[in-house]
Amino acid sequence: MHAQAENSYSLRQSSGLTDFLLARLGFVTLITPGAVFLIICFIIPVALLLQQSFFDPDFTFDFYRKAFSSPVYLSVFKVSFEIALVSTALSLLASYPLAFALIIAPTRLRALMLGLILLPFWTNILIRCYAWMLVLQTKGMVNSVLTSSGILSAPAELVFNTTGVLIGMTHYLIPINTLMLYSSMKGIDLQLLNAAKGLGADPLRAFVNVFFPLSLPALKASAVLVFVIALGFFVTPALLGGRGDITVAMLISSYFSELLNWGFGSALATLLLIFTAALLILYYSFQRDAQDRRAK
Amino acid sequence: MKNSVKMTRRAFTSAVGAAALGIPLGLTSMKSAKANDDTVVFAGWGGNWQEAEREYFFKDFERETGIRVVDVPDLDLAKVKTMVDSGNVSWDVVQALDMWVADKDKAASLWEEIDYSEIQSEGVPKDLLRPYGAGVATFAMILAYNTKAFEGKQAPASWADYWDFEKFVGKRGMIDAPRYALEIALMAKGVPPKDLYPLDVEGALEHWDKIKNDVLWWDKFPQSINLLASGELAVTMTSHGRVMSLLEEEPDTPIKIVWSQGILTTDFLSIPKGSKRKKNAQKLISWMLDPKRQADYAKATGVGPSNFKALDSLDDATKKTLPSYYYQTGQIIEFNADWWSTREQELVERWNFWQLI
Repeated sequence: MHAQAENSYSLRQSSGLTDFLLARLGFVTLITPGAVFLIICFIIPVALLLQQSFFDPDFTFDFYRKAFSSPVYLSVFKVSFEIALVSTALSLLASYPLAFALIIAPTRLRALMLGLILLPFWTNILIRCYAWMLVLQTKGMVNSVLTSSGILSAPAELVFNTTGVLIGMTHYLIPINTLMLYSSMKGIDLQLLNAAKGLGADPLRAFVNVFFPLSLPALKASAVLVFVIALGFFVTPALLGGRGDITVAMLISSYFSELLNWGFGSALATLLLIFTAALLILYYSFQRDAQDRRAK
Repeated sequence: MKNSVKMTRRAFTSAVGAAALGIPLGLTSMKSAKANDDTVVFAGWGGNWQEAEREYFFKDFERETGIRVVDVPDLDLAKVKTMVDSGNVSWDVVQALDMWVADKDKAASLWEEIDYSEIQSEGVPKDLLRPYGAGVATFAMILAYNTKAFEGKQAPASWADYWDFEKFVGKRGMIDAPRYALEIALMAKGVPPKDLYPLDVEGALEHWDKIKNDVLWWDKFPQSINLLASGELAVTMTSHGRVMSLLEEEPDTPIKIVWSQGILTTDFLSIPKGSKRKKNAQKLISWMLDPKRQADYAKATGVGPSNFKALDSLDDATKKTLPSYYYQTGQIIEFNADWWSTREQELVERWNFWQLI
């Protein structure tokens, strides 16, 4: 982070007032289109929606009081964060080697691989869930292979429980995760691996000591993004989960479209936003501490 | 409650199509509909049932009245509320669930009052002609079982049998929601139909406690029918309409319906508040209550008519596929939407709490 900041174009270090103003104006021009778009199409509508959590119809904290009054909502938050965390970790485990394989693969194979990775990405999520139901149920494909080959004596419960939710979500997250990792790993100079080998490192050592540290920022960035995506799942846990697998997103959707209690739905959405932001701030400050320690 | 995606083989493809095309099609048709007064926009649940509505109701309506029916799928109550709140109402007739129109206070903020002086409703029970919606179709929430699971054995015939795991071996499925599940537990306990409401919620949950962990709790109706057809479930609650459409596409599916102790629910036709074509909407509603048309529709889909006169023109074999018939014979009970409509949120919350803790 430090090294990057020093190398990159820095506003503070530009000398002279004219340079400073030019740089400032250029900066403003650069961010304006994106900022205007986000404010009009995202921030204002979301703010309008979330402010409903404070009015019923007069100003009130009742919706928030309700959210904390019963252990059920906090336990739903806990379930959601756990499921999101585990599915993020599982998808990283699968995506990282896949992304590495993509950058070392020959061009044609790579194109084929990318196509195959994107294929499930284009399939409707409902259909994916129903397909998983068929594959994972006790009379499904996986269980019949496992029992008929004698690996299992009785079929395993793979769906309509947390296992099913994790399988479905991890499957959904892998293409996203892989593409993000791949696009940043592409920037790593593979000659460095050869250089390491030239200096006597075996392939494993070259990977662990050279490639992996270089890919770490990409790994962290995609972990955060994927985790945030995972927090918003409501179709997959509803269809593949069991009776304990209720996520905040499922509750929000039910308060909005079935119970028409938008005030409480918005309160839950606001809390999810706050908890997620708090978690990310914690994560980044932890990161900075670690870097500062390393810098010393 | 009802999901527009019916997961049969054919529906797999149509679901992809609907997901890809549904929104843009809906938008363009709404735009063109706004431009002229000789149209009416109907919002339904999509799928085979809505295709049949076009075939048996809309086609003749268009020919007879010159009013074009634009029908859009993927109905959602939140969309209705958004339209009404923003004053930008693009739907004129909505196929509403019973609870959406039952609670007068809530219904008054969403729907126009129906002017029954303009509507031919002879044959429709008074119960189903409500200020904010006219009953158009009936469904039954019933016990269904996979016949292969009970081959050569006695099959379950009541909700009490559903609780009897020793006599009726096999996996159970149930909707993961208080609606219907509470009624079912009470019927299984032996509460007579006339004493069902007001529901003894805690008593029902206690009864579920006995088998809570041995039940597969599904979320959407297509799941129940899929799992029952594949044999993953031996017994489940489901909607009779789901069974009928599956049997129509794949007649050999080993599924049987137990009609007795079923719960009758009704779909209503309602006009979103602020509809710009209220006159046309009233005409379409009147058209869809006609006994002859409802009989044809019922024959094709297995969806029950709301106009009980429709039964008169149907043969016995067809009648016995319709919930309206079993309601008349007293074998199934009526879902009390009035009781539910003011308590739904409280009961959903109680239910979630019970499932989680």
